Amino acid sequence: MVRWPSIVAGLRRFMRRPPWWVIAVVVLAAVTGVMAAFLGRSVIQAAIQGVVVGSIYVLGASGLSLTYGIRRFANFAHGDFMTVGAYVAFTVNVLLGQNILWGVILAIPTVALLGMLLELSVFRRLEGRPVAALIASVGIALVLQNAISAIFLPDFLYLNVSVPRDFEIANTGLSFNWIKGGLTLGVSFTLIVFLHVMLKYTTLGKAMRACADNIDLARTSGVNTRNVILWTWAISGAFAAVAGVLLAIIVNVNPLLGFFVLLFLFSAVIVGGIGSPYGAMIGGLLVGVVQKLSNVGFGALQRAGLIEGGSVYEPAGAFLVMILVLLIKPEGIMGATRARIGGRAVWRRPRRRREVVTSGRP
Amino acid sequence: MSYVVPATILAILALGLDIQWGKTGLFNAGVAAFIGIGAYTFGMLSTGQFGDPLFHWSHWGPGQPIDLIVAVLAAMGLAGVLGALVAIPTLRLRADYLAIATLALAEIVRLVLKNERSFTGGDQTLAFIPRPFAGIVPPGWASDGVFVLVAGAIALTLLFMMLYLSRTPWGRALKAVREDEEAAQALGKNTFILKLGAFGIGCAIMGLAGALMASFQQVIAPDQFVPYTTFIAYVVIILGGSGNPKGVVLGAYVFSLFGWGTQQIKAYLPSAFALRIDFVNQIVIGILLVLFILFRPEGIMREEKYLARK
Repeated sequence: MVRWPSIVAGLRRFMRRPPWWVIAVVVLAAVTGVMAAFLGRSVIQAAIQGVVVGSIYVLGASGLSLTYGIRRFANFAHGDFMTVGAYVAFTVNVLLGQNILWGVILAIPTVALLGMLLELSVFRRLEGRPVAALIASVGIALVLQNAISAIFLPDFLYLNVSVPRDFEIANTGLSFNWIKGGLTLGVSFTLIVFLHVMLKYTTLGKAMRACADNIDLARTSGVNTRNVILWTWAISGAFAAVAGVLLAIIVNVNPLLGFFVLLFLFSAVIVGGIGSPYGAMIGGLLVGVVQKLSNVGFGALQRAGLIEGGSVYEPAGAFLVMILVLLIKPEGIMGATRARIGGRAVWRRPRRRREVVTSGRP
Repeated sequence: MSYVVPATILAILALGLDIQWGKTGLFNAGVAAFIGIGAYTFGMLSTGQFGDPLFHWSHWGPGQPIDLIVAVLAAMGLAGVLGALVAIPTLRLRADYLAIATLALAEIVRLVLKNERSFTGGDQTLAFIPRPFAGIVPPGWASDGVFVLVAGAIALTLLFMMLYLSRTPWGRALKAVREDEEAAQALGKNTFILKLGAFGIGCAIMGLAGALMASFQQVIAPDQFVPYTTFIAYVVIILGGSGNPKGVVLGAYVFSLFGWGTQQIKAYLPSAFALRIDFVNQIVIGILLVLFILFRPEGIMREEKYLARK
């Protein structure tokens, strides 16, 4: 039996203050429409590309958000996890001449193990020192990038994937590619559903949410937090590996592949609300679309002679949105209702005081 | 010369960053942008308008080259003001946001420098940037020597200013913000203004470092201002000891010795390895950084404890 009054009440509440992410999506759709009216079909094409790129950002950003939610620091090495995944796939696919599927299958455990290893060796020791952990992650990013450069040399490499031709969607002049577009969307949608089911319905997912909410309380309640954190790194790494391979199929393989995407991932995480994987999902799509739209927009500005560089400025659009969100709603568009991994949390970790150097007496 | 001057400039840069990170605890990940802005402002003002009809190589500038001192001040001012502008929306938020916003800014600045060709010269570099006393001192080793003196004098002045700063009420208030912002607020300190001031001044000093770098190299290209530059500044501070100006300067010279040493070794290595030594160098730096963070977070020289006089 459907209880109508509750639905009506919910609708009324919705009309009074629609969720921020709905506002964001509507605004973005409106912007797309206006741009399409002025600049024509290329805008719609760009929006489609944006959704595809955005779905890769979703994978990267939700993993980033998971580790952020539990470990409370921005992992600057996450982009390089993606790069490592891409290079594992490259090794299997091109150097060993196997199918790309084997590459993905091998990349996932490799990057997951890498994440767990880093947690065990570095991040576990930096618990409660988020900025120190952040700097350590920058160091790790540097090590990973340069290790890859030293082994493979900093060249642009390509995976051996047979990509079919783009096809036209029903005489609209818009093109779409099954591998580059369809596969990417399909894989990331599947993985997001997997993540959602895992977070909501499995014991591990519940434990992860508990740890993100209040790690001390979770430990007291008998959750083995160390194992849960390790699993979080593994899942985050696995998602990064898949995202890296998908990105490598669309773009190419190079040592800075992930590092250049990292800022978009951060934009997605911030737009969606830091530490919230659901926010990262919608944030990733928004950032991807904004990036591709600004590609077209800056191209138009270039043709108008206002600026010299055109579509190369496409990151600027995405970063602008991030800064806008920081100004208007710093907790992100999904941040208010789902503060941590799928659940409310108003608790704050008490500051650990360092020795106060300025005072004369203890 | 290839060691002393870059090391001194790095020391100046690190002193600027030390006000932000070491003293106040602000994580600025856009150091490269502020150096770049300083370098390009200085370069564009001090060379004047320049166009090469043959290679279509040009950049914007005033009709007449501007005096170097004015150009340096303009570089510092612009970097400082831009830093403050970025800081206003992000300082109220948590540390990670500032890092990410400044990193994004650095990327945008680099893209603009690279692509607005008629403005900055773009990828075709900005060249013929004058050195101080260029009219009096002949180019070559004499010019280098004078540059060492100039940069050294600036670095020493900054070092003493920073040492003095640690003892002023303002410096102590900054440390209080770093240690516990809420406690500082409770004591009536306007922590936002304090942080903004520290950020702006730090960025201005980075602009100064950029101007010196442009003047020393005489040629600058946008790709010098990649995120790696930011990273080096942090490595120097963490190596030397964050919050301790003497340690930071020491860190700059030690770190540069490492980088310079690997460049010297490069010539004696087989080519397959020489190709990779830069990467190996950076791997070592990365590992060193992680090890320092893990086992000696206070760096080589620990921050001096300052006891208030009774």
